[in-house]
Amino acid sequence: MVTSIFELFFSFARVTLFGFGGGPSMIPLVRTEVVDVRGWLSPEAFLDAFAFGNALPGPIVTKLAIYVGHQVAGWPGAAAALLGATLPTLVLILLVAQLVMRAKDNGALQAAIAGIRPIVVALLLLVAWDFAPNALGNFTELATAWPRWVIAAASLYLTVRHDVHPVVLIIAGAGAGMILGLGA
Amino acid sequence: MIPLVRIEAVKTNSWLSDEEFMELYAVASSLPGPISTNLAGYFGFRVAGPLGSLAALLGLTLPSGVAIVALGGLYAATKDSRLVQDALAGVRPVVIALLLGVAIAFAPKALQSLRGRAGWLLRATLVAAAFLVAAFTPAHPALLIVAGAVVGLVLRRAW
Repeated sequence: MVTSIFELFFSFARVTLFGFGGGPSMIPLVRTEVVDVRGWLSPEAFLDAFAFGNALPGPIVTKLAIYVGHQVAGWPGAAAALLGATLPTLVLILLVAQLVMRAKDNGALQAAIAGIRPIVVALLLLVAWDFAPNALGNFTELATAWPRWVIAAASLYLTVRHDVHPVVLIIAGAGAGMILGLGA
Repeated sequence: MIPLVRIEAVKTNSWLSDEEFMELYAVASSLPGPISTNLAGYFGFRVAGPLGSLAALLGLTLPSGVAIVALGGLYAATKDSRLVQDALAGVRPVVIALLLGVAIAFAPKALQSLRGRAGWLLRATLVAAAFLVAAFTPAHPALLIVAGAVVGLVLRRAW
């Protein structure tokens, strides 16, 4: 249990210390730590946790940290994960903010970030790509799994074009799943 | 969430001026980590030292943290039921769409360039290359992020 506490702290610290670009940039990093590196959640469990996380307010990383931490080691685990996710980067900003604000030339930092952003896009696409078989079924199952593709396509359209709130889409998806009996 | 942080910090509590907030926001956006917790912790520190930071962090993260644990408990208790399995099967495609939606929303900023078409193409190539490396090698994403930073520094204004 003690090892888990430390692992939770360090894993989530890793996530946030490399997370340049806000919430979106950290989602793939959380997944890597939680599913691949530590094996704390299965891919499906992570997807489901991400769904709950989207249905609630608040910063996504801290919600995931608390959830995973609690799963692994109860409330002490949740605390360790939360502190790992928030303290190191907070210390960083407290130390560095004055320097960065006074510096005339943030050019280097901005240049580095410009290079990181495309990586973040790729990592996000990869998360979706990795989860697609779980969420949409394999190509061989297309005959029975097509309603899920329709749900995905409709949700994508609604979120991109009409900015429909994730909670609405999640509830609609749950409803469709229940009505159509998609859990077979 | 950030507009709400701004209202609290500037209007409700007058911890700092609007200009100072925007400057701080720019800094927080350039540094790693969750922007909202970094801002909250920073204000907390300014107002009441380390204890202030802790208070701000807990205020921001505990309510939804408790809620997600509660939701997770419900999930664990019911997930073997047929009905919940059906519901989850309908929710997961939505999550794929949300992930793609986040990527799509993030993409313009990632691909914009001062060099027009050539710059756009270079960045798109970087996206593709990063995707392939991440998908087919055991490279840790953090490594790719560092690599991206290096590329950005090397190319500087050239792209």
